[in-house]
Amino acid sequence: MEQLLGFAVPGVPYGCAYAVFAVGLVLTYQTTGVFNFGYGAQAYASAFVFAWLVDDHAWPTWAAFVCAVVVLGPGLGLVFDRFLFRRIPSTNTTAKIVTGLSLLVGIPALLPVVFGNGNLVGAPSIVFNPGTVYFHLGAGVPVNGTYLSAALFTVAMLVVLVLLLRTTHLGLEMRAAAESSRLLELEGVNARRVTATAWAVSGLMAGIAGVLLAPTEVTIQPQDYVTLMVAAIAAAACAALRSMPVAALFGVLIGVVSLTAQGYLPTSSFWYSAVLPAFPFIVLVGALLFVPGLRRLGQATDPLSSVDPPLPLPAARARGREIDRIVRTGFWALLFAFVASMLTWMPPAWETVLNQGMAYSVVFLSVTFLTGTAGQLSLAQATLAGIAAFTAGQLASHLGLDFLAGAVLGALAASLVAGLLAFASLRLRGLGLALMTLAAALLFDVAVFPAQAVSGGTGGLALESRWLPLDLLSSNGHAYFLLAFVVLVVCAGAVTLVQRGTVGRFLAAMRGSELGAAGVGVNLAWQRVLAFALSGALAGVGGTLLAIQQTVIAPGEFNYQLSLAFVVIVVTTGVGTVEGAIQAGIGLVVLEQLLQYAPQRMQGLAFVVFAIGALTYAAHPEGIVELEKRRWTGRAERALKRLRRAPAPAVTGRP
Amino acid sequence: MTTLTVRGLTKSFGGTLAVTGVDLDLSTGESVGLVGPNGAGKTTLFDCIFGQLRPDAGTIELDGRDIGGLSTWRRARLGIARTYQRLEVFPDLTVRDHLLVALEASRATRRGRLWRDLLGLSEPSREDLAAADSVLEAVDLLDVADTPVAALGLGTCRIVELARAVVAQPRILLADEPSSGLDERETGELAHLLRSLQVERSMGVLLVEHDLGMVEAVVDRVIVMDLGCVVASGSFHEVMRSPAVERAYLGSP
Repeated sequence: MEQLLGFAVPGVPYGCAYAVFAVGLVLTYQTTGVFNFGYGAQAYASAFVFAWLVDDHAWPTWAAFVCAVVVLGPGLGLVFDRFLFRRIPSTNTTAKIVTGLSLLVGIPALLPVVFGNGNLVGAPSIVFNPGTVYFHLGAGVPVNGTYLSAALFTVAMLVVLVLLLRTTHLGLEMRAAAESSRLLELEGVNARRVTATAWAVSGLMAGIAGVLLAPTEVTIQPQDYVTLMVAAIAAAACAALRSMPVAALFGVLIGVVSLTAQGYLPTSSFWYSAVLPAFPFIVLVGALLFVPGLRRLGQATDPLSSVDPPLPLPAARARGREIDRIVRTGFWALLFAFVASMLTWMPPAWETVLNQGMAYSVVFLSVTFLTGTAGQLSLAQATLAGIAAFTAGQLASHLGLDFLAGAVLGALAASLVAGLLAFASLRLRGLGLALMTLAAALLFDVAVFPAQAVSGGTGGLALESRWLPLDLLSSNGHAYFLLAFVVLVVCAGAVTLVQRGTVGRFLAAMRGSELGAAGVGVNLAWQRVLAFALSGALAGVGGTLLAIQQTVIAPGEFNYQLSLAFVVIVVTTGVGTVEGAIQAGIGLVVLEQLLQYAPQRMQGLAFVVFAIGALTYAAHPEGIVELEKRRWTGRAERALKRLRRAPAPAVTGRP
Repeated sequence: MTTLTVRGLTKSFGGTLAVTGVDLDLSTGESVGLVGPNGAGKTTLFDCIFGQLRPDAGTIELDGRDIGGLSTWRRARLGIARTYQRLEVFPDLTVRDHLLVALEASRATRRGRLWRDLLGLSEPSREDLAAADSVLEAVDLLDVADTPVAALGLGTCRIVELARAVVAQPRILLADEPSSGLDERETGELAHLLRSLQVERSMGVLLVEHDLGMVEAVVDRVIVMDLGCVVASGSFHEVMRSPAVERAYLGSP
């Protein structure tokens, strides 16, 4: 018993951390209807500013607390509400997820740009002294200030929030606003004020949680807060995003069980090295598969949702014949100029950058196909790319198979995993499906990719030139460019053909209305598995291309954070079109290359730029580039009309 | 002749009985109205027949074949079609594409679709295009055939949904409040259209509708539901005079 307590008690602060975040997620979901992926980033921002003010500027703790928590926390919540989430139609689950993801990607990347890269070492405790042992449990298990702060704060926060939500009129109005703010307004309530209050309370909680948790970590790192978020998501999922006490209970349990098992398991065992780190994700998968309330997550509940305006048409479908002809001619001219430039005058450094951009474009095509064409959201595309790359690498390493042949088998393996993931998630929709793919990505990150047999350890698997023909690993010559160009053209062509064909029509129908598509005889389960499998194959092909370009297959190049960033990046340029994926791939690497000339603290700015771009997804789901194309098309149409004094061409239905 | 037979259908949500022991017969060529106040269980009955809800008890048969365990898309391929109270169109697809999706999906085989797409061989067949255009002509939508549905008004979208439902020659059509959101003129036109399609294509139509004028114009007989049970059935005028119907709509005196 003594030993059990000795292992379990250190798990309390972690468990309470998960609980605090899980309660915050449930609170936000219950009061705003948004599953806020950016919650961890909000907490990180408060903790970062708090530690920055105290450590770097010697502010008194209370003043830093007021600034970082009481002002910044609710302030961020209000900004999110006013400029982002309020503009999203209540039934647009994808826009809500993407906006949350862009905050999760953008805020941690933005903070060093604003405040510098200084390493923030530990923040002061705001309640109890972390090092002081206040009492002993049983016959000698010490309980220090960290444990005490975490436990007391979790209980206090839970009580206050449950009372707010369940016993006050404001709590009732918040829950009503989460269902339909428009219906609430019809009752004479200022729904905007209610929703803003909900966001402010949620932001305040995130700030307090962030600052409270800061002393438990040695340094304040964004990834700590994201890891916390994932465990908290598992706890919140166990409570079906409904009950705050149940979410808190599961949060504490995940923390305590993890630390207890860590104490008992031999450090050299598979259970210790692979299963234990994945424990929160296994809980998340279990909750998604077996908690019935999660199957309906993200389904439209707003009875007034039909008053939302329809989405605009893609520019390619809205332009007249003449503009269409000009654009097509311009496209071929641009393509020819690009190939000619790469083969003649392009400096090798920029050729390498653009080659990488093409490899990313192939991976991004998988996002375009899955999200833009099939309307499904996957947060595991980098994982699928990694599966293919590691498969090809291991086949080459152990069986001596040519890496390109291995790439085909790797893409098939990625396709198989994606298909199985879709098959296992058939009952899930929207947010539930996104969380399932995230859990799968995390499982691969902690339990599969780091394994010696897969990646050869954290350093990764270095490609050998004998595995590849035509000296593809060499930066001399244009062999890699030609390979990447042909693969990109084939993949882009394949996606375009499928989009225009029968399967594309079925997927467009599924994207528009699952109920309507099933009602005319479309087998949704098969279409989803097919969409995931094809998307997995594309991600796999792109992953192996990236591996060849980088000459090493490292687990860090295919982690879940990149999967999240991929979605954000593609959504920024335009998830509905093939050219959107290519613009995203080339845009990302060019931006990163240009930032090489900027100061060190600006290095993460590329992600900030794309995250800001993705924030416009709610207003312009077609993407910024697509939006500008439509605007310019309109201008060109008007200019042509003025020139020829003829009526504008009619809208055509051609894709 | 095809017959849809429902026997003893019961569905509850938690402690609330939404549909209780409902029996129903519908043959091709006949049009039946299903009326009743809000909360009577009409849409729940539709959802059970179409496989979107799993009933707690009872059987659903199509031509004597038990279809109670089949998923929605299988029932659709067996010849049951549906329109929805809340519009369920595909906003990015053109009007013609809506009908092509229904035609292509109604075929039982999926063999080779993806390969045909990848080889650029999946242009719609002449037969499908002709079938789609013939329905579009019948419902007077040929002018907007190439327009994405997102650009159309509610009344036109209702007709697109109806055209999509009938294009694959269903034997049974479940129409759930098709006049919802339409004005009087549009409702009258839709009623005329629905009746003529039902007669031309010899479909069995089960119509849920609050607009009694439309019900009178479309149906051969009426079934009245209240609190999950069938409380009256017969011709439109008989049923409207029934005391049970007065109680259902106006409450007990």
